[in-house]
Amino acid sequence: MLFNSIEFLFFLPVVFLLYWIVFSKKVKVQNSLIVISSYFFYAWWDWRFLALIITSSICDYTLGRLIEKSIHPKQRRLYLWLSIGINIGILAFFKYVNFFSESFENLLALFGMQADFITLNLIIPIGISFYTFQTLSYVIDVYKKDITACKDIIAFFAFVSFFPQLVAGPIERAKNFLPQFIEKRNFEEFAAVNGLRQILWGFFKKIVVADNCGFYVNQIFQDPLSYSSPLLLLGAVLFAFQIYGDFSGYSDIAIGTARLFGFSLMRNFAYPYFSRDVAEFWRRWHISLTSWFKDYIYIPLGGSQRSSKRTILNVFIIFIISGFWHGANWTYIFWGTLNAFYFLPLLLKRSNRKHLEVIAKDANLPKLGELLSMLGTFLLICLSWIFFRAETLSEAFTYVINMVNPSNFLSKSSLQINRSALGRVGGFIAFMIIVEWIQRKQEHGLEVMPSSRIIRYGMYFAISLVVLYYFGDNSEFIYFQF
Amino acid sequence: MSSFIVKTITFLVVLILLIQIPSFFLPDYWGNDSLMKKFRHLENSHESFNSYFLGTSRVLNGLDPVMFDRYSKIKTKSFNLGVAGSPGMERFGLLDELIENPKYNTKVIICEFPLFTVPSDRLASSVRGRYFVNTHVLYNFLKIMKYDKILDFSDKLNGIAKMNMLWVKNLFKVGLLKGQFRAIRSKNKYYNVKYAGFKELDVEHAGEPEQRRRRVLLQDTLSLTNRHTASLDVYNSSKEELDNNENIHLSHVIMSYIEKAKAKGIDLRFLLLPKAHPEYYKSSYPTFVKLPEHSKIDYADPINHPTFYKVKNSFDRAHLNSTGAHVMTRLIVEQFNAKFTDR
Repeated sequence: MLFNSIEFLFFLPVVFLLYWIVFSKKVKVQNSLIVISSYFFYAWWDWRFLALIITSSICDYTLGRLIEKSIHPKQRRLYLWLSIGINIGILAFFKYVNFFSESFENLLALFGMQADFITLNLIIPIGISFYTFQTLSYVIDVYKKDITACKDIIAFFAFVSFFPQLVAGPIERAKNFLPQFIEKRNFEEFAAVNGLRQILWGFFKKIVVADNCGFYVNQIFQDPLSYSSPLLLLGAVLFAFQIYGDFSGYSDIAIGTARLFGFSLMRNFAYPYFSRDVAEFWRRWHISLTSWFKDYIYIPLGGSQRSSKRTILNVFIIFIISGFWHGANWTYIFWGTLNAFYFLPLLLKRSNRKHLEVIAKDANLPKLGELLSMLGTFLLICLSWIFFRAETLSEAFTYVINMVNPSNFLSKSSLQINRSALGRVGGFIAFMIIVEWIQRKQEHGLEVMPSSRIIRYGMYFAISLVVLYYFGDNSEFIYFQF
Repeated sequence: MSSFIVKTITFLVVLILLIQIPSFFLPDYWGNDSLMKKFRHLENSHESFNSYFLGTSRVLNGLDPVMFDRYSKIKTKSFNLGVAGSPGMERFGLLDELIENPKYNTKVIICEFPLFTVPSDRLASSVRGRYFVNTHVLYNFLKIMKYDKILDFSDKLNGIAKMNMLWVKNLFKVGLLKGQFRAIRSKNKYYNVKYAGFKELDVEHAGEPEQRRRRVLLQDTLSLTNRHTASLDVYNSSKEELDNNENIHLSHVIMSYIEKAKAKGIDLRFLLLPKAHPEYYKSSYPTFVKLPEHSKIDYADPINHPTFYKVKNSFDRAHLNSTGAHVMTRLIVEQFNAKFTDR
């Protein structure tokens, strides 16, 4: 089920009322409702893949308990690797098997050898990368004795399948999230209202900003050779806002929905385009995944505490894995590598933690230097997004070469749209930037609202009307494919 | 908790009311561009039309208004409001408009027999395939489903779920607001609709999609025979079968329109046309056959009018060519005249 679908409009209030009115007495019953409604939510897309979520939940629940009970380190390690094997095995099978067989075929072809491996016609189960990482973090944390194994099977199943964040995160940590399923939850009006505001802002970013940008992005990326350099640059910039609106919009809806049910999910985006360098960008973009890689791969590998060579290698490893996590395509791997190259100089100069505080903390506007760093960072990120968006590496390079080719600057080309429509999209982006700039110290764009009720409700109605105006195409969220 | 629910519901109610505002500036048929064009022509034309044909492409391509007027015994000035792919449910709103609104000076309406058929997924995903699903239409649809004896249980259930979904979508104007604003902006654009709305289908004038359909028919005329056979099955049904399959609520709705038209002095006739989808006859004929004689015209009848199922009168498997259209218009106007004289 998509958040931006009419079905969800039915689903959410029904589950909400059942949860707080009918089943509010016992946490276990509420958790059971979460499990059932989450499975229903997922099955709406394809019920067959529910089996994977259930398998993953059973395995990790059992292995978590076994790890805790075992005294022998060897046995504990065996259970841990069994869990990693099962989870990564399922993920690899559905997501990467074709990539590896095709890549191996191509490699052999380079040496004049021919091979014809079987490629499987597989559908990638929605959300598999997200819930797999979430359950893995649980087992690793139990193994590291950071948390105790969960004894309540329903709470554990609810933790794995919680519908607001099941299909595209935020990837939660058991340490933060699992205890919330055990404790009694009370309805707090302030949290619920804040949740609704966050949902509204998420819809604005997804439906108004991202989907409108997507319309032009698709045109430009479909045939980059037909457009002039400025239009190609525009395409890259619009894609930057499309992917931000799409994914952070999804995260806002997910976090806001969770608030309605008394849960607090981790923040996934912290206004990444206000970053002054790439290191700051990566602390603010897809926080739940970046921190996952940091905690479970980068630090166990030694992080930056070993030799320079090892640090460089570690940085490349996590950025390449991050790229690969997004999809089985060389474009993602290149995107990850490019970001590693952006990040590395900052790390080696030890200036990667220079900007830990929010930009222009005590001022209304950024200083000129901050503004320029922000713009520079944004352009670097836009360049990397071209590789993320393109279907193949050669397409991405063609795009970049055409974009920077001086002879292409003055060539005549135009989009098949009217200028006022494009101007409107620019207006929506500007509105989003202004609102988020004002709220940059808050968690989301509508967290702090004017105290005047008229202005506040006027804003709610205005945003809702714009959302409804553009609502209806039911376009999928980009991150569903990952 | 209760204050949160009250606030949320109040907000939603106000929001729903706000988004209904554009509807007040638009006619009921705003979601169908072809109808908008035709009505704009009607409103701006110097000719004073008083007779209207409503229906799908079978009406659009099958009823020639000029010919109708030439042979009609009473003085008519006809206009063909037929539109390709027009869903039956859309026609009720049009009937209301033509009956209630004096600016159309309506004397005669010939309307292809409408059904409350659930739009296909493809159609329902477009504005024109669902914009007309309002509370009144939903209510009638649900009652028709209650009395329907032809569809099986799962089809009914799917249909009810789908129509409810469309109703909610329309209530919240999901995907409609943009279209409504566009329709308001272009409301006063004038389109010159030629040949009083009639579009004859012949090899010379038809566009490529129609030509493609024609080639299919010429390559294999079996599809035409199949439609003939399927309609024969329905028309050969026993009286008992027809009695059993009549949809009481659909009859009631149709009769209410006949009465309403009669009260305004309008001659409203419902029409069955040849070569429609077999399912259409299965659902419509048992109810249609019960209508008063003066209110129905039947040229779908494969027993008495097999000629309309012949290749010489067909453009493709579902539409008449210009020859067929002229033959049928002539027959319709004769039947119309005869009934008019009878009364």
